Amino acid sequence: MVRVIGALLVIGGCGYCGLSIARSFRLRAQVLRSLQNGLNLLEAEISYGSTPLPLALARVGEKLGRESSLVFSQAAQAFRLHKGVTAGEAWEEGVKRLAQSVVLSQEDISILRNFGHGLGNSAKNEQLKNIALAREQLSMAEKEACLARERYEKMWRYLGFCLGAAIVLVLI
Amino acid sequence: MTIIGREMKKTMNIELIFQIAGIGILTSIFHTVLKQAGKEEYSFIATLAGVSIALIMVVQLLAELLSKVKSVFFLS
Repeated sequence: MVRVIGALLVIGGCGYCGLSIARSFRLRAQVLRSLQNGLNLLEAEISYGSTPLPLALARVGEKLGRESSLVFSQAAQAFRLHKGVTAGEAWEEGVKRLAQSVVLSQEDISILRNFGHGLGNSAKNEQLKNIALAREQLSMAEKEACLARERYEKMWRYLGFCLGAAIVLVLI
Repeated sequence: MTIIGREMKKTMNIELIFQIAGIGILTSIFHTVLKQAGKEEYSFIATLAGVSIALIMVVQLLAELLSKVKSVFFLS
């Protein structure tokens, strides 16, 4: 009885690890996609609405999905809480928060950081160019993430359970 | 006593056969999955690991068999 419970626990644990690794691949592609949508929305807010940056960030954060809205809403919150903070610093806070909750590669984070350096310190036209550049880079990163996801998501999903079963077979 | 001992040995051997069969199945799954993901070198390593684990399991029995063969032909 104890053996069976232990075997189930080992298989379940390894399977869960495999599934969570597979999910991180899926989540990365999703987040990169919706960050591009967020930048589109931000572009619209800046070019058509001429909304002030804190308000624009907060609005974009409300519209996006759960994970990717973190960066926008956290940046908006940093604007609200710390007086005299620059847009780049507020964005940096958001990027940090996002990097904590989602597994992003170093390149993705550096794209977002570079975007933050140019944010809010120039005229409208320059801002729009900056957004277009970041969006282009994010779309390239997304393509790469989709490729990695296609390859490895399925593999990790099976591999976790198989590894658990192998351990059980050897130990039993 | 000897009958019980023999029975136990028999069931243990059958268990071992099933265990090795399971390792074989899992190894083949590992091989296929890793090959599909484009990691040929890891799939090779997984196969090698499966073979060596199975070998470690049976090496005791192989030694027993060899010594029995030797004793049959009065070599030991």
